[in-house]
Amino acid sequence: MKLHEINVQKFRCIENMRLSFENALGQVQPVTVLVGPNGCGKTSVLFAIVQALRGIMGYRTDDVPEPAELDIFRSGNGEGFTRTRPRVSVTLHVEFDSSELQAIPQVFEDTMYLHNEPRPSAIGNGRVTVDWKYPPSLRSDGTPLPTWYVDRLMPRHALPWFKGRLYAIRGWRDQKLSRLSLLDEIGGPMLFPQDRNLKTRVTGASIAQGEAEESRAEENVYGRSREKTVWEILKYLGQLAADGGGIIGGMETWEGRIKEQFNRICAPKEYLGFLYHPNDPQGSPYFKDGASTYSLSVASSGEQVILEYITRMTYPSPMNHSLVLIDEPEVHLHPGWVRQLYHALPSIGQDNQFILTTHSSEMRELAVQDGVHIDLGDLQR
Amino acid sequence: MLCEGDVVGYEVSILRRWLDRNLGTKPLVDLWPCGTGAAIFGVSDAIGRSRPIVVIEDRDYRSIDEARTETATKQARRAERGLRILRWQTWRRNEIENYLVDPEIAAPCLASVFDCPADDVKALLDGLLPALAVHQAFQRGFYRTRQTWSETDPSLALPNNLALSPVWNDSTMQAVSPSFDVAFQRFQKNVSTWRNRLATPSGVGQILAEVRSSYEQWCNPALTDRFWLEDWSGKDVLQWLRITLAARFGWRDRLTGNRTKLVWAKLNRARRDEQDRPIEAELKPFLVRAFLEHLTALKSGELRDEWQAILAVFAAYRDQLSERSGWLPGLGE
Repeated sequence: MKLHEINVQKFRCIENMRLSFENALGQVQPVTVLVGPNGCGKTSVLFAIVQALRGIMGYRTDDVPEPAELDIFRSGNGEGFTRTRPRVSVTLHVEFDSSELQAIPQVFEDTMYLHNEPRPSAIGNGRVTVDWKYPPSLRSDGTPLPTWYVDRLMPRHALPWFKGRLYAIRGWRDQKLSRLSLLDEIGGPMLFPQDRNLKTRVTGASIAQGEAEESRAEENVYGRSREKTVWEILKYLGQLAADGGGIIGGMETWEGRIKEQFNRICAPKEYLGFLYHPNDPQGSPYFKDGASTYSLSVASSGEQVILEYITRMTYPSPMNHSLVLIDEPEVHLHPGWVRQLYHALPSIGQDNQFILTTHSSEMRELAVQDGVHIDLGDLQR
Repeated sequence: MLCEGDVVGYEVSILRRWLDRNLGTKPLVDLWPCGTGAAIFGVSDAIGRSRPIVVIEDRDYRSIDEARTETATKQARRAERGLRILRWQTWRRNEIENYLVDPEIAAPCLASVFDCPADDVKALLDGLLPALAVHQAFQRGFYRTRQTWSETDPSLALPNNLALSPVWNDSTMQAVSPSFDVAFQRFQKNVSTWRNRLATPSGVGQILAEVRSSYEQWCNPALTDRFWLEDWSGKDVLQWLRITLAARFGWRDRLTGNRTKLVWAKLNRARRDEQDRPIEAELKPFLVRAFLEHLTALKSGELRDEWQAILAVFAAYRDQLSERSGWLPGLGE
């Protein structure tokens, strides 16, 4: 799935903004970097994309709160009185690429047991316009529709196409897909938010005892689990691979896929897998760099960040042909690793579109050299 | 690393990716575009004592041997002043654009953008080259003239033999100023000599011969010749290729999505550049990517050797440091 253009009106700090993610050929750029100081609307653009897609694609994330009154733009002056209630409006011009146009109808056939819906009707060149508004429209009985409800789709019969990924994930888990690779061929949105603590998300090193207990309590009461750390995921996948499980397709395992991607991006460093050693009976994810072998806990921040992106975009469901939103990827990173990460992103997964936000001048410079930056404000401010 | 060009120029875009891809962060290389070759000199002075630097400048219209000699001299003179220059060199070709205008790289890349066959791009380039021969011959002549003139400019002789610095006296432990009258008399003599040496006729004849010889050498260029690829200004060739392609096949308007054939005939140079500038900016990422893919795929050859040699300078420095201290310079891990 590719995002060609977004129009945002009256959302958070954005009064009216139109952004195009195309290059000179009209093709969507693999990476676009939104640059600007605090308060210029970079994160709001990412949140707007998530709000518009979360409902129709079933994309769940706690990192973007449900829309509320405070998300409606407020002008600083006393002007702008109207007779209609102000509404947030987000319009996305998306495109399902050729692999999705073939894979999604097949998924619908394979997963009839889940939904009983027919194959989706053709949408020509794969282009769809999504209009999302907040507050949502009212039903005929005067009650509001859910906040995730899409106000308008063009063409109108395009809605089933957005469910393709959800059904593919469920069908894959139930082992009902005619081809395991179908899940690799359908994209969706994914957000890496700004306020993330690297150590906690990757190694879990900062989770104190009390916090862990609180998290377990929350899991019991609300049925929600704390997001797994990268360490925990790699441990699980390592054990799966050791037991002969975790096969994605053919002979490929989840762990093997993560290894392949990491080794390709960070060569000559290699990810060896989750290993045990007499000096490390609990086991750790291990890396190799020349003659030296070391654990994830002492890996550089850059390696940890790249491993996090690879792992979360591989498991529990692979992100290919997807829209990946990363808010301030330079957090925790030395300028050298900012560059490495920027160059590495297009290699993570297959045919993904990355939209990054930054107020790092290092990252801006890289994006300017590639002509993929969009300035939303003056970084010197 | 210091190079010519601006912060969004080809040098920075290509070198940044080439260095990051092959060296990673060991060592961590800062890349500073300095605009012109003259500015590189000044910047090297500014930072050369605080960190080791590598300099790569345009060869322009110098021969390879001249470029080698000059840069070796520059490196030696800078080193005498305490600057740490790991390497001072020029591109093997005239400038960075010469690497991008190579038909094997430019033709398929530009064909995809302008939506035409790669052979058509090559044919257009082949037809364009003879039209540029006169321009390039004179550009070379002007360049050589400027170089020669600065060597013979007698104004440099004005400070000769003036002995203006104070002289230290060990007995009195004081610095003694030279006599103004003595210095001024010598200065008057220098000025008189200088006036008599301005613009000799033989200097002018040399320039004319240079231009004629260049044109005789370059008047019948073919796509397969090397001299236009290595010795001409790649920037000029690339610009005229863009002009030709945009006129023949049209350029896509970002807002409307329509392709329009551009007209150039009635534009003066400034207006022509203005119309060309956005086209150049849009094409730049495509050409940079195409060049790097081509370079990465090479297993041998002069081009590969030249670019590998750039990496070798940094790798040697990195190895030298790690041998000395057992510590790899790079990011703060």
